Amino acid sequence: MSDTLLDIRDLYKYYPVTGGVFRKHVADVKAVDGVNLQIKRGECVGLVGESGCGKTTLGKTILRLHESTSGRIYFDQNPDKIEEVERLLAAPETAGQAKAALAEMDITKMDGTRLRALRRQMQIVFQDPSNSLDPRMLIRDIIAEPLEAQNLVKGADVDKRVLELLDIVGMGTGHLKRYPHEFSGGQRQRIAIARALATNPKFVVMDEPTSALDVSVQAQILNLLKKLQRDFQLTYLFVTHHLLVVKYTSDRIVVMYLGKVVENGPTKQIFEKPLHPYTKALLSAIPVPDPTTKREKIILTGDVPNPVNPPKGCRFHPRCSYAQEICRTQEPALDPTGMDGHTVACHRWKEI
Amino acid sequence: MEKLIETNELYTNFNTFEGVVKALNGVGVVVNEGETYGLVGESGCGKSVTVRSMMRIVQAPGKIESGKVVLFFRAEDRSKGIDIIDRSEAYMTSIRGDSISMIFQEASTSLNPVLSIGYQVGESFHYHRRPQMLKETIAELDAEIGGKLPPLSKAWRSVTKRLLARELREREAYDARIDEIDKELYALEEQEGAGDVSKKRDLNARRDALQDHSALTGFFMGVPFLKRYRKRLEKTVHRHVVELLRTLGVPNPERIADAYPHELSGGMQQRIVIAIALACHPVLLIADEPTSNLDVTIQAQIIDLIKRLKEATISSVLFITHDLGLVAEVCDRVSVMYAGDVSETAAVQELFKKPLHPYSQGLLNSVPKVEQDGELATIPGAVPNLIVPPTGCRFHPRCPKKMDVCSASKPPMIEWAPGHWVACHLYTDGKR
Repeated sequence: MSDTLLDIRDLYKYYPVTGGVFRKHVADVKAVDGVNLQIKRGECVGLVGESGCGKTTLGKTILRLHESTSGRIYFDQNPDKIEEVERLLAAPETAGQAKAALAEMDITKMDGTRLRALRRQMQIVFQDPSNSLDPRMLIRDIIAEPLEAQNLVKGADVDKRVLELLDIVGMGTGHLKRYPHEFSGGQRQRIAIARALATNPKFVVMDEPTSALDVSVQAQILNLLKKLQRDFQLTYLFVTHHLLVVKYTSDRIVVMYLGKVVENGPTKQIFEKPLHPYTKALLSAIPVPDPTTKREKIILTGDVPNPVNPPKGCRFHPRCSYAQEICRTQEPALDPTGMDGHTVACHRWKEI
Repeated sequence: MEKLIETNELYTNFNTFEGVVKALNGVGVVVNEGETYGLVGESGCGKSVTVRSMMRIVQAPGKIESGKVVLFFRAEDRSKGIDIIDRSEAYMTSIRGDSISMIFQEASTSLNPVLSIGYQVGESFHYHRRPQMLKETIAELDAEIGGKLPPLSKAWRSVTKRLLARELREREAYDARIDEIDKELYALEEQEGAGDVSKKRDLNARRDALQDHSALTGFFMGVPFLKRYRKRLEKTVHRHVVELLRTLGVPNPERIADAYPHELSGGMQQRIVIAIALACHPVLLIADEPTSNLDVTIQAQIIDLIKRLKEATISSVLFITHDLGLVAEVCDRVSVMYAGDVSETAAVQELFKKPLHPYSQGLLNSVPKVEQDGELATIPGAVPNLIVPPTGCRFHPRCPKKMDVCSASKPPMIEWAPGHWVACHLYTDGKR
C-alpha cells in the first residue's frame, strides 16, 4: 500500500460553448485547466477558491461524475506502476503501449464494470442536502440505495446496516420511514453523509457540505466529519469557499484560481505565510470574528475574469498589484518552495 | 447619541396552512444616529422579518400584529417621534427609498431583469426627487431657448418647458397639501385622545387619495406624441444616474447604465442595488445580508464600499448578517436574535469579550476561529418550529444553563451593565 491514494495528472475539463444555427463549437469554458494534485491516504485536503474557479468541477471530475477532457486520475494504484505508465506516455512513440495499462488504472478511461467496483470506494456529499436527497424516497431507501446497487448487503441485513449508519452520523432510530422534508437542514446533511458512508468508502469528496447550514449546525457537522475521518480512516477532498472551515478541517490547502492551482501547501504554512498574492488577498479578506484585531485588508479590484477567455500569462495578473511584464506573457509553473510539500505558481513569490 | 428609529414590542405573525408562525415575539431594537447597528442570528430567527416590519413590507401571509415602529428623523419629532405602524401607505411610500432604504440579500433577484440599470436606478430620482429634476430640466431649457436655435426647435423647447413647468407647479402644490395633512396628523397624535381615531383614518385616506398631477397633465403624459416632452426629464435623470454610479466606483458608468442585470457580475449587481438604495441619500440604510452570496474578495470590496459611504453620506446603517466575522468588522453595536426574540444587545467589543446570554456564548464558540485548537463547541439541537414555539424563554430547550423558571416565563430585557442588555433569567435577579 502506497502513501498516495489519489494521483491526478494534467487534468483538463473544458465545457464546450456552442453557437450559431448548427450549434457549432465556438469556444471552451476552461473550468479545470491542467491540474496536478496528489492526495495522501488519511489526509484532508481543502480545495478553496472563489465561485467559478473550477473547484466543484474538479471534485466531480475526480469521481467521473463529469467526463474529463484529458488527463489521468489514478486511484489507489501502485506508485511504481504509475511512474512507469507516465514514462511511457511522455514519449510519443511509446504512448500506444500505455493504453492497456491506462484502461485498468485510470479513472477517466475505465469501463463500466471497473468503475462500478471503484465507486464503492469513492463517494461524494453535496452542497445542499435539500436538493441532493430525493424528496419522494424514504430515508431507509435513500441510505439503502448504494448498498443495494453494489450488492453489498441483502435482505433483512439492509435495515440493520441502515440503522447502524444512522447511528454513526448521530441520528436516533425511528427515522427509517420518514421523508427528507421532515428533517431540518442539519439532519438532512447527516443523512447525506450516512448515504456516502454506506459502502465503506476510502475517499469522500465534500462539496461545500456546510455552506447551506447555520453556524451552530455547521459546527455540529464539522465535528461529525472530523470524528468520522478518525474512526474510518477516511480521506477527504474538502471543497469550500469558507477559509476558516478549511482551516479547521484540513491538513493541506489547495488554492485554485480560474481552473489552475496557484498554491498548495500545509494548512499551517498557508495561513502563516501565504506566498501567492491571490492567497494573501483571500486570507486578508476573511472577516475575523474578533473586533479587537484590526487588520490591513488587501482589497482586490475587479471581478474574476471569464474562464472562456482567461487572461494570458499568469491568470491573476489583471488583479495583482505585483504584476510585471513577465506575468503578462509567461504562465508561471507550480514551483516547489523548499518548505515541505509547499508549491506556488507565481513568478515573483520570492520577492513579495 | 440620538435615537433614529426604534421598535417597541413588535409582534409579527405569518398565517400559514400549518398554523400561525409567531416570527417576532416582542422585538425591541434601537438604532442611534451615526452608528452601524448589527442584527445577527441564524436563519429563521426573524432578522429579516424585523427590518421588513420596520419598513412595513412584510410579505403576504405575514402581518404586524402589534407593536410600534417609531421614527425620529426630523428635528421637531425628537421628543415623541412618528409611529409609522398606523400611518397611511402613501406616507410609507414617500419614506421608503428616500429616508430609509434597503439592500436585499440577493442582488440578482432584487433587480428587474427586463428593465435597464439606468431605468431602475433612475426610479428613485423620479419618485423622490421629481421637483429637483424638473427644476434642473427647466433651467437647462431656459438656457437653450436663450441661445441661438432654429425657430422650430425653439418652439418645441418652449412647449416642453411649459409642460414641465406645469408638472412642477402641480407637484409643489401636492407636496404642500401633503405637508399640511402630516402636520394635522402629528397634532392629533400629540393629543392622544380616544375620539380622534376616525378623524385620523379620514386624514390618512385623504392623503392617499391626493394626486400629484391634474387630469390634464395626465393626458399630456399619456398621449403618444405629446408625451415626448418628458424625454428631457429622462435625460436629466439619466445624467444623475451616471454621476451616482461613478461615485460608487462602477467602471464605465455610461455603458453600465444602458446594460441589463444579467450582463453584470454578482458583485456589480450588488453595487447597482446599493446605488438604488443610495440615490436619495437615505438617513438609514438597511442592509439585509448584502454579501452572503458573494465571494470573499468581492465581499471585501462591497463592505469597504458601504463603510466609505457611511462616512460620507449615510447617517446610520442597520446591518443584518449571520456571519459573526462581518459583525466584528463592521458594526458598532449588535443585537443577537434567536427565534424571534432579541436575546442580547451590546457594543460589539463587549459582546465578543463578554457574551452574557447562553445563546450568544454558544454562537460565538461555534464559529471556527483563526486560532482554533481542538473541537468546535456546538449548540445541541436545532432551531425550534415557530408555529409551536417553546414556552417561556424560546432558547430553553437548547440551553445548557436551563432552570425551572426558564420554561415558565419569558425573561425581560434588563440592562446588566451600562449599554449591555440581556434577556435571560440568569441575570434577572441581579445575580449571576
